Amino acid sequence: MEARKPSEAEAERLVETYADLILRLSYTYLKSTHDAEDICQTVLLKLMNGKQRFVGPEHEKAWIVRTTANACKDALRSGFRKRTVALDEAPETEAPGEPDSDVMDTVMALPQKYREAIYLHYYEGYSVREIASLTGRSEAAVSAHLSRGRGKLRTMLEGAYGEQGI
Amino acid sequence: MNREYNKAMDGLRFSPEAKKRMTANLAAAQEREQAARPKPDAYAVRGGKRRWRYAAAVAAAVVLVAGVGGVASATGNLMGMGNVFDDLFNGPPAQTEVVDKIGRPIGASATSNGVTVTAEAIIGDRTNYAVVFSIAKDDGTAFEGIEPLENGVLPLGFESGSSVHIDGTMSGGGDGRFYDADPSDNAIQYVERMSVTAIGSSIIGHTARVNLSDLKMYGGDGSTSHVVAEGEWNMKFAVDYEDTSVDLPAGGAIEVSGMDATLDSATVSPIALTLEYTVHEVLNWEDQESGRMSDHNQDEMDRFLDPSVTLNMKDGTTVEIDALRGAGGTRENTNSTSCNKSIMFDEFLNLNDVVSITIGGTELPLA
Repeated sequence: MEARKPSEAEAERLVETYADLILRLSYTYLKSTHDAEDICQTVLLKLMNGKQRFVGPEHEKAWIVRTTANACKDALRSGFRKRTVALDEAPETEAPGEPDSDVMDTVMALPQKYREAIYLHYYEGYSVREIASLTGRSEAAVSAHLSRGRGKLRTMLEGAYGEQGI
Repeated sequence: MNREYNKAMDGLRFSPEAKKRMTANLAAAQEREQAARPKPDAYAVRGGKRRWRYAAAVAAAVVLVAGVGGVASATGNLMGMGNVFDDLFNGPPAQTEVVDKIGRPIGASATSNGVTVTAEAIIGDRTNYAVVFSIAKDDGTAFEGIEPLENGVLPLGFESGSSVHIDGTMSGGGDGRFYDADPSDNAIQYVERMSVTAIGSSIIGHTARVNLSDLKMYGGDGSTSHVVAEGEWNMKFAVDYEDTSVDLPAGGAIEVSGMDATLDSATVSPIALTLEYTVHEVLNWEDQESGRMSDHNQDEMDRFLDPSVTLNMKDGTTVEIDALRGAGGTRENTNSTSCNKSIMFDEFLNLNDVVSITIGGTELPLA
């Protein structure tokens, strides 16, 4: 692919292609959509300003996933959201509405590493090996997170969805 | 169950209005950052006739290797920028009262691959700021093999594309340098100074977004480098400090490189002098291919962006300021050229010690 060029067309392509992915992934990590737009701007601006070269759309998407995950982890680690409280006095745009779903609520009650694995595997369709590469974890760890996550979900949902499997 | 999970995720999306807004913000931010990060060996030039041309006389990569030309400090009234930051952390020497107003600790940090970057503090005024970061390995060991240059600057830089961007700014110019404030600890410091053009009158209250990647060390003449710490460090913080800028009397005649001009506005703060003036001649801009500025155009911009500046101190001494080092922009009108110029001081200036500032041959008293 060509190097990123500073243009509105490129910004539009990136937003249309990746904004919702970044929103969903940041929601998975942060349990909130409040900072998704900031995370999205941070990640996409980094892509536009960087000198990354991608061999194809999947390579670019993988970079987006990794960078978004890092941005979310930094946000959690640094107290990002706590500090943004002071900024709330400035006009804020409305955050996207959060899902109203019992299953989603249950998934979001799982530990972060389980949520991460479940989102990347079941929603984005990445294999265990690909998730291991994206997250810097071992394949065994990712498999364990998926397996234990499924187990916890079954227990938490008490059979309501058990017959459908996950 | 996974169907319901996927269905719920499908419903989680930005509205078309939000995407439109994000696209516009992203394109604008990208353009601003390109303008704020000129190529190391060339002026950044944007726009054609009648639009602002923007120039930053000192670019980060040059500074990293060559260091910053210092302002001649003829008196004891100026203190080093490093000392200013020391005051923020260690207080409270002589000028803490002023420093406390214009400087604020931040404390935002990000960690990647065992290296933590922390935005320690920011000082600034309406359109100029200096922010200092500390960089340290989490295992407590120091970065090995990084020897300071003769001027004390460490030959380091972040990967191209790294940026500190403040929302609501259109363009800017400045410099950055690495140093080791305390060789007895394992942290090194990076200070970035920028003068920006803000949408509105001030950057105070806006959000700063920091995106840094891969710390590199330059070798020899600066043409080679290798990565010292691989990683990505992203954070944001509020630009929050008290504006202690003083507006100088404007509207009078000044002289810029022998040309008649009118001073439209002048503001001085402890860290910078910010000027707007109109030169009553039209800058002779020659068309050029995009990219590196031609020698002719560079000379022309230098001619219009080099007002003589002298600080007149209360103790009777004077300090000459090299205005060419600052960032500035020009815009040609029918019979004149509008200019803006921001000159960040290399050292902290206590305005209580300044009687007046002579700009383009005209002495302007501080109120």
